[in-house]
This record gives sequence, C-alpha cells and structure tokens, in this order.
Amino acid sequence: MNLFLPSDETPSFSVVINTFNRANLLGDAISGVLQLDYPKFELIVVNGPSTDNSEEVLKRWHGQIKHLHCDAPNLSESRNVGIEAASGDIVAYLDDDAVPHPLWLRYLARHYANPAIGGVGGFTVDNTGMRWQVRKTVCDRFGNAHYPDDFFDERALNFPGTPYYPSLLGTNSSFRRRALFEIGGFDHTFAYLLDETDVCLRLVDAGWQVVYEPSAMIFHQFAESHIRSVNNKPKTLYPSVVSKSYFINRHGQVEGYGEAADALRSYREEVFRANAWLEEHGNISSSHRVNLDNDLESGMSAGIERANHATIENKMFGDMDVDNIAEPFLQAERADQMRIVLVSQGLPPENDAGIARWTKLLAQGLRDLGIAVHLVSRAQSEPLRRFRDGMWFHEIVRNTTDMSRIAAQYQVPESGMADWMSAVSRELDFIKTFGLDLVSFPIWDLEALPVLDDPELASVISLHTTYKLAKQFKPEWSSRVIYGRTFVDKVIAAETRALKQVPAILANSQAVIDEIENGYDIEIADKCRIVPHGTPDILKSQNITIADKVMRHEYDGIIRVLFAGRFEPRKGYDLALQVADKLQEERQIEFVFAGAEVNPDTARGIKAQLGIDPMQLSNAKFHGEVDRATLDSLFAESDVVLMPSRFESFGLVAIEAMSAGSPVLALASGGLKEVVTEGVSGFLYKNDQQFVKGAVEKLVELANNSVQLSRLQESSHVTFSDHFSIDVMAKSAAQFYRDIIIKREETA
Amino acid sequence: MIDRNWFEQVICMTEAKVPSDMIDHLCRELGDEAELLPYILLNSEAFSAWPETLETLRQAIRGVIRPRVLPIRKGHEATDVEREHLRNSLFSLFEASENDSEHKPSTWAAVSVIGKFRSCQSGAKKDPRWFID
Repeated sequence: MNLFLPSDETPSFSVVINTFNRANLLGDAISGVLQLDYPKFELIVVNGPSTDNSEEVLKRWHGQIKHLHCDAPNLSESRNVGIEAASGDIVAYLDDDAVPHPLWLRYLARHYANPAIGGVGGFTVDNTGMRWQVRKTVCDRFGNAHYPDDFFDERALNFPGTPYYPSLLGTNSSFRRRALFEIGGFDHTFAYLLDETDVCLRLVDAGWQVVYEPSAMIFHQFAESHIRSVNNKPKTLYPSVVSKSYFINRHGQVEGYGEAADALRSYREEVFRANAWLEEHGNISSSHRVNLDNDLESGMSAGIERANHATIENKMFGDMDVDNIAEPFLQAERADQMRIVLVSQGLPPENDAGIARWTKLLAQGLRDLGIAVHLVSRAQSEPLRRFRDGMWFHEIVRNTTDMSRIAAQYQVPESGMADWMSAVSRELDFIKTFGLDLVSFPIWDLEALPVLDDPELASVISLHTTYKLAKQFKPEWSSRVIYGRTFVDKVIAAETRALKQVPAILANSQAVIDEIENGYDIEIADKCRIVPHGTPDILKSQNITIADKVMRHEYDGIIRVLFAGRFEPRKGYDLALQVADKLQEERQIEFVFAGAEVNPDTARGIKAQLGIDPMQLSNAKFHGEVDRATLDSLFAESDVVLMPSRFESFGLVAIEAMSAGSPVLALASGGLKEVVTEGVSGFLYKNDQQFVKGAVEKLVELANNSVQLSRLQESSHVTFSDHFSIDVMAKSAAQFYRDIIIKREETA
Repeated sequence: MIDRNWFEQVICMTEAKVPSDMIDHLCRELGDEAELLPYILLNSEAFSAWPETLETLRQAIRGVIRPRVLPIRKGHEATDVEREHLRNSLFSLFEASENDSEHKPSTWAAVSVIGKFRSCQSGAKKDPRWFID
C-alpha cells in the first residue's frame, strides 16, 4: 500500500519562507526545503526589510528560487507577497529558522485530495529535535489557544460560526491557494502573531475545512528575532498586542459584545501580571517592564482603533492583491536523490582525531555534491537532532531497549557496545523515515553492526585502525585480563565476522587492505574500493600561494622542515631527531616538531635511547601538542615535511603537507608508498638508515637549490589537488555508494 | 587507578612476583582492582606456594556458567505486552459500548486507545512522528 498520493495526482506546492535578519539560519532553511522528496514544488523566499547579509545568502540560489522583497517588518504583508508570487495549487509556510522533514509535503498533500480541505498543518519539533514544540492547537474566537490530545478529532469543528476551530502554526501550515484568494489572504494588521490563526478562522467561517497531519513534521530552531530574545523573553509587545486586541474585536464580537470586552480586560490584566512577574524574577529590568507596559497600552488602543475602522469600512477580506499575476511555476530541483548516514563516535570541533575528522570532511564533500548526509555521533550530554550547514546531525545517547538482544545476536559486550548499537539502530529507524539509502560506519567499535542484517539498507564498513591491529600498541589490553577477554576479544571476533559479512568496504589504501587480510587471515580485496583520504587545501585556507612560499625562502634563505606526530617509535620521531642532529651545522635549515611535549624528563629518556638531547638541538623548535589552526599554520610555514613513519595505513600528514605545498621525505612503508610519488611530491627511502642519510643529503641539496625546491612544492600541491582534495574523495566515495545501492537493488 | 598500598598488600599476601619498579605502572595500567587477581595468577606466579588455593581458583574458573542460549528479545517482548494491554482495553470499550447503556465509553476514549494501539504496530516505525517524545 502506498501511503501517499501517486505523483501524477499530487497537487503542486509553493513553499514560502518569510525571512527577516536571519542570514545565519536562512541557508539551512533553504537547503532543507531543497531536500524535500516531492515531485512538484517551488520555493519562494520573501526577504525584508533585512539589514544583515540575507541577500548575499539568497544569491547562492539565484535562478533556482523565487526571490522577493517586503519593505515592511510585517509578517502578514510578507506572507501575502509570497501568495501573490505563488503558482502552486497549495501554499505552504515554514519559518526561516525551520527545516522540514523530507516527506513534509507528501504528508500534507494527501489531505488535499479532498476538495473541501482549505488548510493542513503538521506537528512541530522543538530545537532539541527530540521533543514536540507544538502539536494540535484549537483556538477560540478571542484568539486563546487550547491544546487537545493528539487523538482529538478536530474535523468536527469545521463549520462557519464555530466557537472553536483548528489553528495551524505559521511555521508548519499550508493552504489551498484558491481558498486564500477567496478570503483575500492575510490581514496586514497582524504584523506579528495571530496572522495564521485569523486566516484559519476566516477559512472555516467561509466553509473550508482545516485539519492536522501529525506526520508532516517541521524541525524548528525557535531563534531570536526582532520581537523575542533567544530565551523567549519579549523585546517589544506592541505588534502582538495590536494583533490580539484587533483579533478579539474582529472575531470575538460574534460571542457577544460583553464577552469581547471581558476578553480584552482579562488579556490586559494577564499581560500586566506577566510583565510584573518577569521583573520580579529578574528576567527583565524595571525600565524594560515600563516599556512593555507602555507597549500594552498603546498596542491595545491601536488594535481597537483598527478593528473599529475595519467594521466601519465593512472589511470582509484580507489585504493581498488578488489581481496580481504570479510568475510561472519554478520547479525546485534537488541535485542528488541519494541519502546516506555516516556514523562516527565523535566529530570536530570537539573531536578532531582520525575517524571523526575524516567523517566530517567526507560529509561536507558529499553535501557539496548535493547528497543528503546524516551524521550520527555520541552526544556530549543530551541527545540532539539538528540540521546545520546543510547536514543532519544526530547526537545520540546509549539505549538499553535492544541491548541484550543485540549483545546475544552479535556476541558483543552489552555495556559500551551493544547499548550504542541499540541507540544507533533506533536512530537509523528514524532516519529511514527520511528515505535513507545507505549507512557507512567505521570498523572501530562497529556501532551500526545490526544494519548488515537490515534488508532495507545498503551498508559499507570503512577501514581504519581495528581492535586487532591496535592490540599490539595497547599492552594494557593484555594486562587487564578481564577487560581483554570480556571486551577486546569479543570485539575482535565481531570485527572478523563483520568483515566477512559486509558486502562492501571502503579502504583508503591497498596497504590497509593487505594489513587486514594478513591480520585476520581473510580475503576482502574483492569487495573493497580504495578511496584515498582527502584534506582541505591549507594554502587556500591560509590565503597564500606557492609563489609566496618561494619568495619567503628566497628572502631569508632558510628552509623550514616540519615533523608532525607523536613521539612514538611507529611515527619514526627518532629518525627525524637524527636528521636534525646531523644538520646542526647547516644554519639555513631549521626544524619544527609539533605533536609531542618535550620536557626535561622526556628529553632525558630520548637522550638515553638515542644519544641526542632534543633540548640541546640549536636548530629545532618544539611546539608540543597543537590545535588544528596552529598545525595548519605550521604546515603553511614549512618548506619540507619529514614523515619517517614505520607504518601508516594511509599517511594523512603527507597529504596535509602536499596541500600546504610542501614535499614529503618519507619511509617507503604502508600507505605512504601509495601517497608519495617519488620525485614529484617527495622522496621515499627504504629503511631507517637510508632515510637518515637520504634526508640529510636531500635537505642540503634543496637548501642550495631553490629552483628545485619551488618545482617540488608546485608539483606537490598539484598532486594534492588531483588526488587528495575533499572534492576528489567525495566524488569517489559517492560513486562507490551509488554502485552499492544499485547492486543491492538489483540483487533484491 | 589502583591504590598502591593495597596493591602491595595483595602482592605480599599472595607471594606474587612483581618487580617493585613495575607497581606504579601496573596500578595505572590495570586501573580496576578486579583486574589484579587474574593478572597475578597468570603473570606473576601468585599462590604458587599454596597449591590448594590455586586448585580451588582453577575449579572456580571451570565452574563459570557461560550463556549458550540467546536471551529473550526484551525489546519486542515489552511491545507485545503493551499491545496486549491495549487490545484488552479496546475490547473492554466495545463490550461496555454494547452492553451497558448507562456507562458507555466516550468516542474520544476509544479513538485514543486505537491511536495508541497504532503506535505499537510494526508499521508505526515508518512514521516519523513516533520518534519524537
């Protein structure tokens, strides 16, 4: 059974966003709308009178959306500009700080198959993404809201003259365009608040029906505006008081003049009380309270006066220009229909380590290709769902609902593993309602392991360090027998089964595939696709060019050599120190070490081991652990990078060096053999001795030949652009994902 | 982090062979007091002078019952119980509606129970609203 109307029977929608000084959120609102899964819709953005860079944001979608202006800070005027420009059968509204669920329009549309329906609204999720902000709302003729149970059937209230009627929330409402024309659209007196309530009531009074569709969901940030602060404290009450007093006088008199007068009186007293409460509890200052009280008095006078004018003028309609002829329908198009989930325990900026950084960079690259991306990670504190920078972020907490079943089925530890798998599975169930195609998760911790048995989804494991490969560097896993046997050994067994079961594997190098095949004694090469890591262009982000680097070198005659890594034997820090030691007499070569603290204790240890006291090296500077911004600067300032790692599954530092236009001197080990091209982006040495000897000679040679150095720097950056940029990585990964999805569909 | 004094007392009592310069390191590495006994049993010849104790510990290890059967699927079981309860509630409403003219249930009550029942159906997983609290 299909839940929705067939595509050829669906009405066309004009989605309208009315924006005012929300440039920081507007881009996400537009991106969210353009991810809608609906065959016929256009997007109209009415901007104004914004004084921020909203216009600049809107230029990104020039030609793809209808872009209009409203000169007054009046929401009803802005909404009417939207209706006048709309060519769809239905006009749907969402705020500039909101993002729709991709099936929003499909859920709304199915009600419009009934020709009596004039308006449909959905349920609205608050800024946690986990809880409701507003569900069903029923209003009386004085504009007072009531919130019945979800199962309350509001359809019975739809008759002209009704004392109560369904009132849709502006950020999640839709109306039949013909019905809006029939009532003249929005009334401009409602500059803010009750604008959509007034429309709902006038529609019902005109014989149209207004209903709720709970599954038509909007995620609402509820951001600060010119009316309210971020914690929902009023900056001014004037426009809302005008709206309320006008509403009571326009619609409440049906209930009797005395009732309307009582409603106005009780509203006035309630607002005075609320202002006093805010002041007494220190939420607003005394002077702010006086201003709000004055807003109340002047707003009520203005609202009543306008209602009297409307009555005298026998005003029956809203204020839109019904004779305006809209531009032709401008079909919105999504660049790509693929929707994928990337799972990572952490994400930058809180976690900038290997998998976390790679996942975020890949996500950004995929997003830039127009692919819908969801990032599932562990919450720092409370769970959260939000759409930010064109991507969905799902921050989850451990869940014990299915923990025992998952632990038994996949033979993994309950606490610390199955509980997270349960949480990921539950979130994936939610994301499936978005129209999910594929889930990619890292081999480390296997957090989406149950997805391998989900017949509805394609799945990929990305290769990184595994528990089995890490075990040799984790002596505590062997010392801690209980932990080792109840956790580590179980995880290694689960890794083995997962590698055998998963239909597709994303690897960053042949070296890591070989390492896994040897370590686990299994064959995986046939289902692997090699997609080298990508990294941002450091030269670009630091706003410098190769010519700048050459000029700097020629100016002071010094070449700067960088080693970036921990002081671990695997990273070959000892070889880098030996090179620095041997070049102490060469004053034109300076060394910079980043990534490990050198203090008197560690210096003593190194001296005992290597016979070199790092603190006595006159040509070296030690930065210790540095943040990403500092590291990028060090890469940009470097002329050559040393990477004598004894094993790297890939060699991220090498491509970061290339992105900064610095050639790499490396050991020919692991993934470095695939990353560094001899004589083009650096030089490779077969063993420790050859590295030290070769690097010393090469650095002296380069220090005395700036032409050779600049050519190498140029070709290193070209190699980066051609093979290791974010764009290249994202395109290769996207193609792999697409192939897997097609293959799964063919198999199914 | 294990308390060093406690660690030394255990080594002394069990006659485990742990070099004194390793104690601080092991206090950090083992981290949890529970990890000490298996470590000294396997790596430090603990209880070697007490063969009866060693044998008892070996028997205790052999006696551990390991799970061989999959546990009951708790998540699904909970849903089934909830569905059964709602099914009974709905049936009671129908019965009251048919038989007791003075205490007929409200339509709202029935709609509410039906709605909650729908939220427990497997098909509800396809509806985004059931994932919001």
